Amino acid sequence: MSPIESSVFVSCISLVVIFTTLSTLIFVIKALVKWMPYVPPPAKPASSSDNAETSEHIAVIHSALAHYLKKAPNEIQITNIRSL
Amino acid sequence: MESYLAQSFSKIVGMTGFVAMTPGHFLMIAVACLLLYLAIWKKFEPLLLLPIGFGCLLANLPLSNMASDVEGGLLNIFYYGVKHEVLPPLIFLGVGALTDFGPLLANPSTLLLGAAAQIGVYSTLIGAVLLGFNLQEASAIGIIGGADGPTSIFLASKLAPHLLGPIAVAAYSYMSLVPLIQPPIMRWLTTPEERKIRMEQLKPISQNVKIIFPIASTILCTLMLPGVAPLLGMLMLGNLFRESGVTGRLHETSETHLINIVTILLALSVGGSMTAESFLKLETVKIIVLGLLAFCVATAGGVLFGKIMCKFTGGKVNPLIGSAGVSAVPMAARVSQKVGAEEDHNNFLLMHAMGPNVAGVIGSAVAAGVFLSLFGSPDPVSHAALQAVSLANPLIP
Repeated sequence: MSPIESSVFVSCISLVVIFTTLSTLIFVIKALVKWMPYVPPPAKPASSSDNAETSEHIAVIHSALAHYLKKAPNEIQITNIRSL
Repeated sequence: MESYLAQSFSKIVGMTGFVAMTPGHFLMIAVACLLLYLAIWKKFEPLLLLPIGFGCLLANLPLSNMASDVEGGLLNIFYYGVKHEVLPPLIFLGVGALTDFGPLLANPSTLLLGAAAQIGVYSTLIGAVLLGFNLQEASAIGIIGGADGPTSIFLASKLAPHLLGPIAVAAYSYMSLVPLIQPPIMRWLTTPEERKIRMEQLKPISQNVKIIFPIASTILCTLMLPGVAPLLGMLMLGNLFRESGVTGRLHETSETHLINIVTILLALSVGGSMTAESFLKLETVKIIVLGLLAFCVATAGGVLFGKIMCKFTGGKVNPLIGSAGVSAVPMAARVSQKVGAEEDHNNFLLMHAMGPNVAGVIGSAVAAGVFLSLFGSPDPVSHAALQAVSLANPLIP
């Protein structure tokens, strides 16, 4: 077998091995995801007064942060805030 | 008195490196300065090209013996880490600790894109054989198409150690040029409609799946291809540190200090291997050209397979994420996002592209494992080391 033929043969064999290995991994992942589905964490019940207080906190932090960064409040966005 | 002074002066002059300078040294110092320039001023993979460039500089300053294998040069001692398969797997440990496999687990079919991009490796293998390299050398050159520096170094040190310097430089140089090489190919192979495809939001994955995946994939892949164990095993161990949640200190060390220290040692030893005798050859030019071919074909392979997946899924897959099937984490994924956003500013492909990007890391490690299984020979060094240990320890038969 010439070197060129060998290289083509090696390439074909290797591609088959790679696709087989990674396809097997796909089945493993699908099986794992099926057996252990994602369960969202229980949501924390929040009262209306809590919500109002949180909104107020966000507004205060928003304006303070905008002032600190020397930007207009509409130029920044706070996406998440959690109380400890 | 005068003759004594003249003799002393000529002796001192004879001891300096200037006298031993050859045109090869001059050229290699110029190459080192070019690498330093690209790293510092052009910001091309500076974390790697800077120490590689400086290692190259030190190795080519005559009489410094930094890269000497006879006099125990410092860079040659660092190189033992490459020769004995230590440093590239440790880089993979850090990469595993840094990488979130979530996007891959949420859309596992993207693993096929990582496999498809390996076509760049094999087309380059054939091209290298056509240019006169033997199969071992061609395999080491072809893996440049995997766009994975540590894998390239790992395989080159095993199959073609004399080509390590040019292969490492080509791999890292082209990795830094991914944002320039990939977009024209991606635009050429896709239509504006395809580039506008918005993909469904990825489903969240349970933590248990994230923990079990590195263990299961290590068992499976190592049993199928034992040669992948050093690279894939370390990648998955690093990821297990990250996901298990019980090894915070090890995770933090792997993703910061360890990977940084190993990067310095690896890059310096690669730079140290770039001596005039090993680098200034026609083969180097061929490797640089083949490396570019490898990257282009790998990108095209990923995009074309993305188009096939797009057809089969009824237009649910944006073919642009296929280009991220070459490793180069996370730069290739960012390129997919950028090219997609050129057509539609609100199209967010980054997380979808991270799936094939991570798959590319696994795919190139598997490709290296296949080459090692086909062409690797038992390492005499390991046997010698084992013998030394067994002689020292009477409990080992």
